[in-house]
Amino acid sequence: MKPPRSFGLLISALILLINVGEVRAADQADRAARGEDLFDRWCQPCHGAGPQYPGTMALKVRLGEKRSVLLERDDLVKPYVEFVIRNGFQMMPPFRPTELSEKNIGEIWEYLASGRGKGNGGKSKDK
Amino acid sequence: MNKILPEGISPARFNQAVSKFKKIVGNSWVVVEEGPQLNSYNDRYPMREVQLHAPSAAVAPKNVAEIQAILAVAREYRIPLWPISTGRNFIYGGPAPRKAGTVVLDLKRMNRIIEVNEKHAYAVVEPGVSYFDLYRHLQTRKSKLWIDCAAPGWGGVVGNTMDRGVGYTPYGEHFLMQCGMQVILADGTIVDTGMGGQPNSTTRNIYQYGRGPSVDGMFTMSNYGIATRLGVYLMPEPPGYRPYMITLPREEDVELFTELLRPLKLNMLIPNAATTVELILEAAISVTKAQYHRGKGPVPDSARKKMMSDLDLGVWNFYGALYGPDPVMNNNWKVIKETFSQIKGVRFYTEEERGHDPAFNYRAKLMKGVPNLSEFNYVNWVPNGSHVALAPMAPVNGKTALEQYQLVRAKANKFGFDYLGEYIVGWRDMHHIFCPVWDRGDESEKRKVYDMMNELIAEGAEAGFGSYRTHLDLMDQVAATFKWNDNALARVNEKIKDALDPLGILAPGKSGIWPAHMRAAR
Repeated sequence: MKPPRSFGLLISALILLINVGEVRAADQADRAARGEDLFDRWCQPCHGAGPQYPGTMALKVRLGEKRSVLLERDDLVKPYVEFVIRNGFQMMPPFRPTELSEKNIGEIWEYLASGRGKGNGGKSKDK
Repeated sequence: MNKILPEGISPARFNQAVSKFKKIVGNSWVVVEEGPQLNSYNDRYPMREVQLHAPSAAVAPKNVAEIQAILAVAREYRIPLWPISTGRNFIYGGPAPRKAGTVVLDLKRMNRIIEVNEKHAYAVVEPGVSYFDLYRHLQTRKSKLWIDCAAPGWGGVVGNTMDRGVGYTPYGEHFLMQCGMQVILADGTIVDTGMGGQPNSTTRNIYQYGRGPSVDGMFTMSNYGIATRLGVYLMPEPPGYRPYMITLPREEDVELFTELLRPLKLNMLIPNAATTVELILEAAISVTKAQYHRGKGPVPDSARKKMMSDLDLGVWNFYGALYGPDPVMNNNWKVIKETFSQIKGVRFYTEEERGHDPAFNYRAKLMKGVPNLSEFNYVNWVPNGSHVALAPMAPVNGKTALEQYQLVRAKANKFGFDYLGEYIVGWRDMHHIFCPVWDRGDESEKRKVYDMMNELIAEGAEAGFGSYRTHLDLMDQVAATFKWNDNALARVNEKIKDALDPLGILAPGKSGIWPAHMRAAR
């Protein structure tokens, strides 16, 4: 028996949705990859893992060793991260729009949220 | 609150100028709305009200033609511009202008590394290129050339050189190592200095002095033009490199040490811009004040002693490096050790012995031109730390080293602060960097720091210690100390200002140089 026309449409719609999902996931991965590069350039020199990073030292003093390395954190939220990058926080100076655009800041967040920096905390990325 | 505008400019006129800026660079590269983007141009570590250095807008050109167009608008509407390169040396004010309402001319987008010449060992860069950028670029192309970077690795090659900053390799005196400057004057004229004055010059970035008057220095620490391109010499990677540290147990040891150091510097046995670092600045790379002293005021002597013992530090901690083939390094190390061994209690450390220490680690990087930000660990000395620098000059002379230290430390302690400081030892001079840290949220500490710095400028000048560089809030005061012969130097500066920028649109107040129409109010 030939399947009803509506069934074909449903399958097409599902395939489309899956594709959109895949595209979105791929976009997200791209953004996170760009975020990784931006993080390495702009954040890691202060927030790498180890005793030679001022941001890590500041977080260690304020929040303790366990929460001192940004890439190892699970408790960060997007609005907070975005706010701190543009506004600065305590001793951390803000970043200007010529350094990081709103889009760039979002990409850094995607990288942090992706968890792909976990494990090395930027240890081997001394630039 | 009313929007901050350039002095004497009506809102309507300002808006017209801003519209024209937008047409030149595009809407997204003009920041004018009050909010976080505009606030990101403020002074992060102010000693006074942050509004005193708040810009009215920022405009970010991509190239020389856009700068020329912006200058035309600035001239037409009398809009003052404050050029910055990377704007990330926050200890002197960062990207913020001297005078509120000045429009920041943010050159960060001009970030091309125009040339790296491996054969003749130089690079040509635009103002937006940071030390990290140039270092990474050289690494990627497997260059055998080193950069020389200031402590803030995110700072700019052009900006630091134009502000006569220093680094820590043998190429540490940055102004000495620049060659071939391009500047745009207020009237839009593009000038290439030195040999660059000749079309098709083959030595623009090789021979610094050109012919006739050498004008390069005139454009540094001034407001006579906008640097848009700079050649910088790069040091060929030496066959060997060995950083070392020498600790001295007593405060007064800096006198004999500096006396012994002078001939080694003059004769280039210690070829790099070395550092003699005082205890607290050195310790603050690894520990915080609260770990040693919970009370107010400076760390007491008992805690200083404990710190020295815990961290294996001296009251003074000297960093230098050996460069060259092994026989040369072996010989120089022998001479250096023999020379300083006459100081009782002196200790010598190599990288093998001390490389794990974060302070040694970052100094070792800086002395071979590897940019980083580790020095700013010290801003954590107190929670929510803030810092500022005053940089009096000294000869490489023992008695002066001790006296200047005692004067500055006594002043810091009188105001309730720890002395954080070091001598950066050049060929014949020492840059004394005093960089107190305070709680940036504490208004009373802010005021105290400002008062302390003002007293230091005045008393330092009386004692013959002129400062070479300082924060926005202190530029006028430092300039006023250069007053010999009825302010002859200031008057020359003003004559040049009036000749090159008669409308006074470039960086009013930079280094205490004001355009004619703002002078009466000073």
